[in-house]
Amino acid sequence: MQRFVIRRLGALAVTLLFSSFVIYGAMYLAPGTPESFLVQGRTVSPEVLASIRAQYGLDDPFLLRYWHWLTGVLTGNLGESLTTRQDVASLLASRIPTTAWLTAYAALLIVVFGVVAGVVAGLRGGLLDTAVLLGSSVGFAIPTFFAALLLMSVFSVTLGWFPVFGAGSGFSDRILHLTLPAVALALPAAAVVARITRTAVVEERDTEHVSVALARGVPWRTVARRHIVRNAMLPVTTIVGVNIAALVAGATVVEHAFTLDGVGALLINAVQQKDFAVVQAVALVLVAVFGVVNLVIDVLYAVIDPRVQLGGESA
Amino acid sequence: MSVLELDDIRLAVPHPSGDRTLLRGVSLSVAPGEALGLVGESGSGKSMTLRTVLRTEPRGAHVTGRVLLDGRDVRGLGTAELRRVRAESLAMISQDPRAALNPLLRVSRFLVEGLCDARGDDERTATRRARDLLAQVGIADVDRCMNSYPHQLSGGMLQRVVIAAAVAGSPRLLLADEPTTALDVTTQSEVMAILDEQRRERGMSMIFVTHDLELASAVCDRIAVMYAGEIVEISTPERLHAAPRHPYTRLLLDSRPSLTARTPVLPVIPGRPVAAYEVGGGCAFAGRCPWSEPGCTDGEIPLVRDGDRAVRCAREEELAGELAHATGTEATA
Repeated sequence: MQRFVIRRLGALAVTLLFSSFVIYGAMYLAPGTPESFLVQGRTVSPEVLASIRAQYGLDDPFLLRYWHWLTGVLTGNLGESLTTRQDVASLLASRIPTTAWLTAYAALLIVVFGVVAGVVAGLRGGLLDTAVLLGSSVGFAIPTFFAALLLMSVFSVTLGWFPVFGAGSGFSDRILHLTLPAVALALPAAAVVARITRTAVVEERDTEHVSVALARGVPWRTVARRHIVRNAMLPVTTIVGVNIAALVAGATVVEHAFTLDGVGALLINAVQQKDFAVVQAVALVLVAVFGVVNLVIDVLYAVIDPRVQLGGESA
Repeated sequence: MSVLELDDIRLAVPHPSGDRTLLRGVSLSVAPGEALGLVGESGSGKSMTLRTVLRTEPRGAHVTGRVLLDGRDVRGLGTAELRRVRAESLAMISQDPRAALNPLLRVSRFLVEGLCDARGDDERTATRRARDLLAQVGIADVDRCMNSYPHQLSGGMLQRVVIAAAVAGSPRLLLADEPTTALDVTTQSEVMAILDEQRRERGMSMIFVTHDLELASAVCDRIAVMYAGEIVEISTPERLHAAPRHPYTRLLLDSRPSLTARTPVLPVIPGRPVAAYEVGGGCAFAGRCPWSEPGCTDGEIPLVRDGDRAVRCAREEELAGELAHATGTEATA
């Protein structure tokens, strides 16, 4: 187990290195220049522009610039933002809490509503099943930004139950501010999770070991809990994991729609301004979160299923 | 009084082209301590007959007839009573032990669950009993077995675990559905011996479903031969071998390879097995029967009882002598 985790963390480091290079390259090739954003439309003499370029090392070859950035990161210096001159690490630190709260809240909603709805639909069947299937189709079909606008107009503007923007401070205020964004963010994922859970439960309900347990006189509730739901959690764990990992990226859209000052909003601005250091740092955080969540899922898999051997060929 | 009595069990499952009959009136009885073999080709309704006793038939199946377990109709029980009957009076041993156990749970959980959750014993007593039972079915390392997950054990070991679980509550009736078919030949006889020993020790009755007439003859007191969803003959193994009364039984006996004489070609029963829902009027076997006559396809042919034997053949009286001596291949020649 320990060796497995260490090996996977090593693989994650390689992934981070590779993706940082790809993202740096993509930023480099994308149209637009950072200095044109710095001067913000004012007419400046070519000499000034040249001095700016020299100051930030923008004329250096691509590989050299990447190397400078990389050595900086390895010594714990994420660099500073081109536009605000702020230290990237402290900039990130100020933005992470909002995104962390938002995604954690959304993840909770996915697990609670997605998994519970799927389990209930799969076990009960009938009208409830149809309702969950229908609801999940709708939930999956609505784009996140549209859901965000819809929720805002109904619950914030018309009903006035929730604030329209801002992340709030303190626990209860945060929850109040982040409820609509989290719902918008969780909706498609919860729909997928509900559907997969339902299918897994229905499939498990028809296995022989379940009918054997019932034929031995084990009460239905025990069979449902111990044999159906537990076993169905194998595929569900995978799908929940993938969806939670993807939330961090999906948060960008929601943060933008609800004008939340999270990492996603930071990323959008930084990309527009070609703020290399900030984009790189945010991208690294996103990739790292994705990798760690997936690692947790794999470990969880081995905990649920004794047949899974961590560190084996399949891992 | 018999432990089990099936009275005209009919079963049909829904199918897009109308309901499909799988059982066409199965009647049989099992005496206390008796082992009854249920023999027939695949699809003849052997397993389905067992499932009507446990009430685990496919969803949506229409079942009529009575299943009397110690005089009480199992088909009419409510959920709670049915659960009690399953936990206390019946036990099933199925073909594939690997599918019968939850792959994610330890063997100990499987054994304890049957005593604890199903019957309401307390966990400590149940665990102790489970360990005793494993030792009784010939498992050497009880600790290792208890702590193992199903994928860590061999098929033979798992089937012993299933047998241990089945006899754990000393049920009135064991329902064994080809319990050795999925096992290696070498473990088959061992597992069969353990099952037979456990059953006899506890004086339990058993219905033993198999397609192996020899195996059934070795362990059963009586044998019922099934064809196309009904019983065509019931007899003791000795008499069945010496003087079968139904042409199908005769041909079934002929089609097993002989150990003493070499035959150039194994005799096979001509034609293909008929499914219960394909049967029209008259005898289901008439189409494949070398002795059939035009009259065989008319009307319903009853299962005629004669002491502890019974046979369902329109020409039973005329053929009695011939079937005892001649073989089917001679009749066709």
